[in-house]
Amino acid sequence: MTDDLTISGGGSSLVATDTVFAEMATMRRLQGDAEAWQSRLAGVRGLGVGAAPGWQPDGLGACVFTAERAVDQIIEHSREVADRLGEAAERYGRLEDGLQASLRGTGAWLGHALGTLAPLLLRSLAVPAVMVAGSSLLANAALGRSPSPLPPLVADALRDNPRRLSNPAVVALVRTLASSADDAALGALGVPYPVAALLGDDGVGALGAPSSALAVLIAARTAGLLRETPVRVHQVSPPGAGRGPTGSGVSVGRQPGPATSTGPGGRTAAGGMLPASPPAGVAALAERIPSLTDDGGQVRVERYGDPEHPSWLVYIGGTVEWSPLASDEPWDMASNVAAVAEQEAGSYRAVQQALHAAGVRPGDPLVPIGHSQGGLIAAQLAASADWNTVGLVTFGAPAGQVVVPAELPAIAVEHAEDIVPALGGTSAEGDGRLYVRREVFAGAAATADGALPAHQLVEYRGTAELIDESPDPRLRDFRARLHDLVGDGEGQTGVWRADRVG
Amino acid sequence: MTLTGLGLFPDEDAGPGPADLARLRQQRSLLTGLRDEVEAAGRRVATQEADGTWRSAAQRAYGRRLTELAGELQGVWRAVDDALSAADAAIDAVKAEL
Repeated sequence: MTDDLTISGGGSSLVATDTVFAEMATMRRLQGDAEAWQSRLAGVRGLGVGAAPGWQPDGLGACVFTAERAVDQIIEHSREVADRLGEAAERYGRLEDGLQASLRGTGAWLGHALGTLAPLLLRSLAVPAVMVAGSSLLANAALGRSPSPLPPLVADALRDNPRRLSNPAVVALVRTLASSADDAALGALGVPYPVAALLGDDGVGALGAPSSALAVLIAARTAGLLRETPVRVHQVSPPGAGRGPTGSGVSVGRQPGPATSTGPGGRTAAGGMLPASPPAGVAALAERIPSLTDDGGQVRVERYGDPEHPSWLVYIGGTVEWSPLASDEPWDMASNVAAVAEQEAGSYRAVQQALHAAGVRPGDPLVPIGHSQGGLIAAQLAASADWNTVGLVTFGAPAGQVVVPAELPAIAVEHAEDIVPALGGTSAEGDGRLYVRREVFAGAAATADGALPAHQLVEYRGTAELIDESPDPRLRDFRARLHDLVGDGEGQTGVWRADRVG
Repeated sequence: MTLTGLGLFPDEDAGPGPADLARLRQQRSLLTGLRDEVEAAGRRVATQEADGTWRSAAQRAYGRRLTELAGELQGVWRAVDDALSAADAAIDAVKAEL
C-alpha cells in the first residue's frame, strides 16, 4: 500500500504526486515572496541610504545593497527549482497522455478489426461458446451454485484471485475496451475504419463508452434484462443514528418521520431532518456516503446555512444489486448501464426525487458526492442544468465520459487497481476534474474482501484521509471551498430510501 | 558615528533634523517586517528539508537544492539584520545630534 497520491487534470497538463505539486507551490510562493522583498528593499533605498554603498561596509546603504543581491539569488534559484519541478510534471503528463492516446488508437483499431471479423468469429466461436455456457449452467446447478455461464473453475479462479481483476494493466485494458466497443459495432456494420475513427473519442467524439453502453442496453432489454421502471423515495430513520459527531458527523436530536412540511419562508422542506455537524474535509464526505445496511437508504441529503440561503450536500451510495434481472432495487445493473449510456437511470431519478423531497431548489448551491454508481449519478447531476452544482466529489465512479462544466471544482478519486472507473471509458474532452489516483495495494495483499477489493468504499475512505493530509495546493483549495460553503454552524441531515415500483 | 558626508540627508551642511529621524524610523520598520518574513520563509523551507518522502537520486538532488536555498535565506536574513543594525546606529547618532 502506498500513501502517494498522483494528481492530474484540473485544467492542467501536469501530472505528479501531490508532494511534487506542494513543493512546486512552495517554490513559487518563495519566488513571489522574494520579489516582494525586493520591492520593500527598493522602498528602503528610495527613502535615502547614501549615494555609494562601497565605502562604508557596515552602513545602511551597503547592507541594503548586500540584501538586494542575496534576494536576487533567492528569486533566481526558487524560480529555477519550481521550473524544473514543473518540467518534470509536464514530461510525466505528456508521457501519460501519449500512452493513453496510443492505447485508445490501438483499442479502436483492434475493436474495429474484431467487429469486421465478427460474422466469421461468431460462426466459428458461437457453437463452442454456447456449449461452454450451457454446460457451465448445468454444472453450477448440479453443484448447488448460483446460475452462471462461467465454468466453475473460472468462477473459482476469479473469486480466489481477485487481484487478477485488480491488476492496473487489466484496468487500463478495460478502460480501452470500454471506449472501443462502439468501434467494434461500427466494424460489424461495415463502416470503414477512417470513418469510425472520425466518429470516436479521438475524432468528433460522437461515440464512446456511452454509445457502447447504449448498445448493451438495447440488446439486454431485447432479452428482457436491465429493464427500467418508475421509482419512489421515502425518508428513513437511519440505523446509524447515534454515532454522533465523532463518527459520521451525524447526531440525533429526534426521530425523523417520513412526511414533508413547510419550512421557513414558505418553502417545502423534509420533516425529519436530524442535526449534523459540517464535514471538515474529503474524508468526512466519504464517511457520510450511505449504505442500505448501515443507513437504511441510498441517498443522504444535508443542509447548511440559514433557511433562506441554504447550501446542500447530497451523498449517493454505490450499486446494491448486481443481478441483471429485475428487482425493486434502483441501485442495480439496469441503472449502472443506463447511467453510463446517459439515459435517465432509476437511481438518477430517485436522487432527483430525494432532492426535491428534502427541499432543494434549482438555484440552491449543491455539491453531489458519490461512490461507484453513486459517483456516476453525482457527475450527471453536475452535468445537468437542472441543479446549481458548485462542487463534485466522486470515488471509483465510471464517470470519465460525463461532461461536467470545466470550471466546476471537482475531484475524482480513483484507485489504479479499481476496474469500475475504467468501465466509464477514457476522460471526456475538456474534462476539468482534478483526478487523484492512488495505487492502493501496490504489491501488498488486498485488505478488503470481495472480487473488487480496490473498489470498496472502505479503501476509498482511507484514500480520502490522505487527501485531507495532502499539502497539494489544489486539494487544500477544495477543502477551503467546502468550508466556505458549509460554514461552521450545525446543519441538518436526512436519509432517503428508493424503490422501484411497477 | 559620523552622519555627514554619507549622502543620507538632503541637506548635509545643515545636519540631521526631525524629518531624517522619521525617515530612518520608517526604514527601520520596513526592515523589521522584512526580516520577520525572511525568517518565516526560512522556517517553511527548513520544514520541507526534513520531509522524508523523497527517495530517488533526483529527489536527493532536490533535497540538496533545498538545503542550499535555506542557506541563501539565512544570508538574506543576516544582510537584512545588518541593515537593521545600521538603521539603529543611524537613529542613535541622529538622536545624539538633535
